[in-house]
Amino acid sequence: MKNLFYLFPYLWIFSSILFFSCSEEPIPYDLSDAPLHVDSLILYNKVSGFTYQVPPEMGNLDKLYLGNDGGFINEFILLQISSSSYGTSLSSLLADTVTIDSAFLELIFSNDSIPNPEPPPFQLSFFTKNDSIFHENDSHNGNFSLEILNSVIINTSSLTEAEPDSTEEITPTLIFDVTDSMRVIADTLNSHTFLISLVDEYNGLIAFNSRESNAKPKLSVYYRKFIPSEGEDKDTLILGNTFYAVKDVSIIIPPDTTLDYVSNLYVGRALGLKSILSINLDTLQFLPAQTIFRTKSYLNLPYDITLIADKITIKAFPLADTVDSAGYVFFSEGDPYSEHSDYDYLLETSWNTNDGFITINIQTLLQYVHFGELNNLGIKLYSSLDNDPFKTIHFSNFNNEINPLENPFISIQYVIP
Amino acid sequence: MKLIHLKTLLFQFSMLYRNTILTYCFFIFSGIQGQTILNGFGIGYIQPRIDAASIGISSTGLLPAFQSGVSLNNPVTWHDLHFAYISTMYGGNQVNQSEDDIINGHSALTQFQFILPIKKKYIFGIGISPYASQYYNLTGIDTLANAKTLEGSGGINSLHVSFGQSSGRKENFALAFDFLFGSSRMETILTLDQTDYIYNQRNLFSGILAKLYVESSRIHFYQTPVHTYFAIQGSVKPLSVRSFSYQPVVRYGFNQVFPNPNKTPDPVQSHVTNVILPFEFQLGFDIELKEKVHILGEGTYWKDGTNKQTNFSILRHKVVSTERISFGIIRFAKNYSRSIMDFVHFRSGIFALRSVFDSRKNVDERGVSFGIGIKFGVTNNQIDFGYSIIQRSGFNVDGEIIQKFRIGLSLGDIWFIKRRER
Repeated sequence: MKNLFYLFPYLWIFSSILFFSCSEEPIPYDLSDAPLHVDSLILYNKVSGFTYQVPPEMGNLDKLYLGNDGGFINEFILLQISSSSYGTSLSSLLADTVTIDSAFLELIFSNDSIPNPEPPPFQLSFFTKNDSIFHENDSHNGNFSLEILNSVIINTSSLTEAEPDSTEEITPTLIFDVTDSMRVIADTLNSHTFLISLVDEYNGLIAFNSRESNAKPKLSVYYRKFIPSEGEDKDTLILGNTFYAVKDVSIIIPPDTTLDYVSNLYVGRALGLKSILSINLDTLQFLPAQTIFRTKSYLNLPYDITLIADKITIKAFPLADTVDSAGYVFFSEGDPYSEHSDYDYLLETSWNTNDGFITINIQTLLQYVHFGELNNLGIKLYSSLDNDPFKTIHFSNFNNEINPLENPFISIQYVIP
Repeated sequence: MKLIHLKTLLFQFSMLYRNTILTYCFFIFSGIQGQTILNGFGIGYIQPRIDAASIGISSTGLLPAFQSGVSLNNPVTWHDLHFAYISTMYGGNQVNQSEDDIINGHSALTQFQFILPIKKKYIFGIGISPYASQYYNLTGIDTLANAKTLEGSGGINSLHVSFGQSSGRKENFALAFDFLFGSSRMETILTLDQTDYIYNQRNLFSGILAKLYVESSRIHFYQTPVHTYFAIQGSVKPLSVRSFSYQPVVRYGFNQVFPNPNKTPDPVQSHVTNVILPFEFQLGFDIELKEKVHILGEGTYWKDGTNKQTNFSILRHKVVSTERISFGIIRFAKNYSRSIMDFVHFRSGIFALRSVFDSRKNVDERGVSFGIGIKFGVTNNQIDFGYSIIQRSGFNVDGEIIQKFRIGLSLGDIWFIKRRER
């Protein structure tokens, strides 16, 4: 009995586990007074902005351009190939035991057929300097000059289109035979950089697939390698290797523009047009600290639907630094305004052709500004890499208060505890 | 091989797993009250500390129902105990909402208590039991017809310590302290366009209540002594709550949430004192009609002396006062008898309870109860069963039928006996 006296509390605890039972059926109740209430807010005349211009940003596009079109002069293409491939370096092809049989630089045309009229021949040059010739993100017509760089013409070629064996699709290709120049190309004293241009002017746009596409520019080399053996005879290996492009960019000259930079905002990659939006979010301070903003919180930007028929994707990021300008400026040295690269701050944009507004989802901006995690320094708009870089979108009705309902406005939905 | 004493083993076990046991006790105590809408108001449904014997006569524990002259929850009655007792209760309830045809049930360990009478002069007791439950699961819509669910769990527990000394006269006194502690968690989910907005809150409670018990045998009714019992309770340290309001989040898919938890502010904390200022007055009587047959009656008035709104509560409104009255009859077991029926206590009772809300609306409860207690062993060990069926209606409650049960096991032991050294 004495032992039982001390034992039974423990038995009791564990027996309750065995017999523990519960059922949880929700009880219906009017929960109007319970926490979490949804509400909405529309803010007019809170958005202002300006457009600024930088040199064309043609790097990282999935196409490389030549020819004159829409006022743009696409001067030449710069292309750097990898110095190694599958463990074989270009310089290893200089060895005495290697005999190069053939080598070709190949670019795939982006259209299915050769344009009409047929473009003039293409010219391939090669830079014979060891230094880096260009930067994919930063090189443009303003800072790249052929005059101070040594380049030698290697060959010329034209678009070719092979006869299909069956129903396969054959894409026109630009192939330069570089067999005779392979020892120069493989030399470690140069940067493996090519320049491709048209021999004569051509009125039309010619586009090749860039390294960002699935059909990258490539240098194909076919060679024999002799392996010494113990006897008099030598073993010979017939090999081929492909060296893909690691950097490429189109150098273009944009046309002079006469745009209304006062009441319109513009975004276009080839023109180097970007815009900064300033949003007055002082109203947020009147919301409870633990407000959560819904995804249906938008910045609605009116655009000229008569000028843009196709869908364009706009990139929008909160600015990381203060903007000290409030009007159109051309920055010849490149974009001075850095943006937050944090994925949490990415603002999604959508294209709504029905009511003439492009909407930017500003849920993340509102939320993190409200938290104090993010400074409301403005939003930078620029054209996505997926767009036709030569198209420009016009955002209209900025900076005037004549008809607020047609101006940019902010629609916010939120939930408060 | 040296045999280790069972008590030593248990001691080592309890030291090794004390945190686990305490955590487990905390959770099992905190949710005894099966979910009902009443758990969502104020600090939750305040439940009297009713043991298995007391539930049999619909008492709140003031009246001696455990054994003749003894109530496990009234320390002033412990002077008459011959043995130290360790007592635990297991109980549960089932709430049947007839209007919505919803049945909810819950059962758990409800009380643990150690009672130590010292030479029939002093008494000491310590125990733990639930004080208020915030266990609920509500569903509904708001004014914009958006779906909402509210879930609450946890509540307030009480660690109660009792002292007393026999005066040797017709009155005896005892003092009990309730150290209130515990936490509750509340989760609100608002569903908009198939997306869940989740808001979590947590409350930590603390407070101390003191209760003075008085027993008197001064009154007689036609030569029959009428044992009267008084109890008055108030706050020593009024109940305070430290509330944590967490940033609401949006849940996408399985476990993706917005905003990023790493960029979310710390929870908003608030500390509210004097959440409730309870004042309770109880009066009861016990008359022995004939040998071992007693009739008992009890009245309780409870009032919250603060006017503070319960902004930490998930639902508006709170109970500001209650009035309770109960009557019971017991036929206690006989001490020396060969009849097996004479080893059994038989109990029955009725009660009525009115809870008044700050909206001046009431919830009324009426119930009947039954119970038995079986004595065994030389140290007056006892196992008790109690059952009560209650009808509840009124403010926000429509036709609830509640069935409650308690099973109590109390084992006695002799303490403070001088033993001859071997």
